[in-house]
Amino acid sequence: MDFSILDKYGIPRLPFSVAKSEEEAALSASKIGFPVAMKLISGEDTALHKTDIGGVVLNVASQGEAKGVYADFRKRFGSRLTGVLVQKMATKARGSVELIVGGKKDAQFGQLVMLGLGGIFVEAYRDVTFRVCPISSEDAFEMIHELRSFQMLMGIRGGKPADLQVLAGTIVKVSRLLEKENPSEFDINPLLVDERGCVALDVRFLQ
Amino acid sequence: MALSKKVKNLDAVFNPSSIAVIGASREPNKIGHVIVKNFVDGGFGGKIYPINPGVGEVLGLRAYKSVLDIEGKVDSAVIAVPEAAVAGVLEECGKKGIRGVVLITGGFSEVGKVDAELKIAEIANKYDIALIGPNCMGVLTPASRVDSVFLPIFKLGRPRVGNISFISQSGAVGGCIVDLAARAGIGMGKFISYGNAAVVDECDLLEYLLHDDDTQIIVAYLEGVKDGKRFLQVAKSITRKKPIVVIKAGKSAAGAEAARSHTGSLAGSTEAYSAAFKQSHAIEAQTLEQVFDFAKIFDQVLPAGKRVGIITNGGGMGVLATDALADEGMALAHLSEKTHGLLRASLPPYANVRNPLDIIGDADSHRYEIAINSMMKDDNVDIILLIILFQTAGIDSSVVNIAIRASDLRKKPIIAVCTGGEYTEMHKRILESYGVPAYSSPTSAMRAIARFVKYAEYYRKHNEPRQHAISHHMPKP
Repeated sequence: MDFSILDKYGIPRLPFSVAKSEEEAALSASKIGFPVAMKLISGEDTALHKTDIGGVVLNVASQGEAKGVYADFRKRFGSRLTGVLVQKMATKARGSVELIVGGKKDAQFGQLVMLGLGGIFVEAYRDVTFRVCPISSEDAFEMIHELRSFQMLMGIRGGKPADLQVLAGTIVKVSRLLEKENPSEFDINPLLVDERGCVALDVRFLQ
Repeated sequence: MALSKKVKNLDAVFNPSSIAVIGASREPNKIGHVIVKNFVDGGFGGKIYPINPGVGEVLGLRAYKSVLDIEGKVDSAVIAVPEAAVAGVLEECGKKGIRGVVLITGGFSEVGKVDAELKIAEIANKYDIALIGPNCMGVLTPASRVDSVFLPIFKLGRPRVGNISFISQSGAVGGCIVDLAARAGIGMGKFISYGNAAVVDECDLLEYLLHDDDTQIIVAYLEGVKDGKRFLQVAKSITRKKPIVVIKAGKSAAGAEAARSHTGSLAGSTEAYSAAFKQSHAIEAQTLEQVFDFAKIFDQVLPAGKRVGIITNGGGMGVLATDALADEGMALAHLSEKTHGLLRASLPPYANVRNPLDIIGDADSHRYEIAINSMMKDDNVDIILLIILFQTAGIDSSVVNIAIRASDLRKKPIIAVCTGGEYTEMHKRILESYGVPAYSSPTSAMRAIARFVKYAEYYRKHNEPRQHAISHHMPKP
């Protein structure tokens, strides 16, 4: 999986491990601590939008359930299944917002870094903004303020304001990752952002 | 940033004391004729040498077979000969010591003849010639009366002298910009149609204009840039000193390539360009109208803040302006008590003294004068938005003089909004000619004001001594 690349750049993520069987899934899950999320790992592109094909199961609460999910994945995806990612379930705070931080190589300007409203609404709302890498912390703050969803980060309906300092720092770290690793496309989506900071829940890295 | 010899030699293109027109013609419909005529009729003060091996004179000027036959020194040349002859005459320009060339001729990389274009570039670089083009429409410098734009003056108007300089990759769009500017009364420092950019490219021109005292505002029409990273760096260094208004054409192709991630599907070349413009603090226009709207406002002094004082002789227009102000994130100025008192004493009792200040439909020029003066003196007002409806009985042309006089004080920006037909347009043109930006609607004015204010903030950040930071580290007494 692509999560290891996040560690190299100090981008916070949830604890995870990769299971290759029912037993491994159950064992990993209890090591990480319930509840966990289980996500399909496949060499094929179909795995890029895992949610759409039912390749993501959230809130798995016991060893028995974990075994069941693994068996179900194998039944449905057959040889396309190369493993299952077992990941700690993120605990959402009242003010948590799902953002996307991504990157793309542009023919003219090189790596671009993107920030936007994330989750499953990325394409629907297209509330995104771009900068050419490398970016400064000032650029990152400008990007945050430019989002139409900015008010969501300031705390709505009783939520606390998000830690924008950490968010800006994370965008700068992604800009560094993009410059060094030079992927053709890159997504952290969602990046869960709230008053505690931010954490990557899913990541895609295309060489 | 030290300028290269090539970029410095652009001086010869814009301020020559002698110019050769290679391919000069006696036929009135030929480009080579129009160019000579434009130099003559435009009142160019230097020497004009028509070059044509087949004729003795063009428009009464002695013609030469080659630039090498001219006895005196020649600063620059305009070349409008067929493509096959270009390399030969350019070589002669180099030998003659000509430092600047505008190469009008097309038929190079734009039709696939890349090698022919490389050869041209090689010759120019050998002699350090600042070559603009090929495949361009020419350059215009109203102050020095240099006019190599090959479109006749009666068909394409020439703008007055001003401080906005335009660079345009497209000749056609560039021509429209020149014509529109002339009609609107907007002044121009330099106009450069740079075509295929074989030698001098958009970044070279931007660097030159940064150091050009006659240019205070830069407008760029781009279809693409040669080197994205260099563009970003050059644009960044310029915006700290001078504003750049940019319009990028060719957006529809964005996102055509298949993408496999969310970011990939959302990132096209449009996004890349917009990102670069934001990062370099260039002001992006979406339409040609916006290009002028955003550029001309910089004729005014930079605003100290975003608090707008609105003066109007029509209540509804004041409301529209207030709506637009909120949309663009500007602030309505709170007029001081002193201003209130002053206005109450001078305006008729039925005028409502607040912001927007409605001086009522029967307002005459004198009432505008009172209103402008009071807002000029009020420290709570950063920008004065002057809405003038010329349709009313009380208004006459003298209100234009009052606006121009206030603008000439260069204390606070004065921005006019004049909505209407022919009579209004006539007065709008006069305002523009004297450097008072005038808009057709409160919305378009406010859009420009928002960009003006944002740029002013950025400019101050980079051009004023950081007093707070300094005093912070001062030893305590």
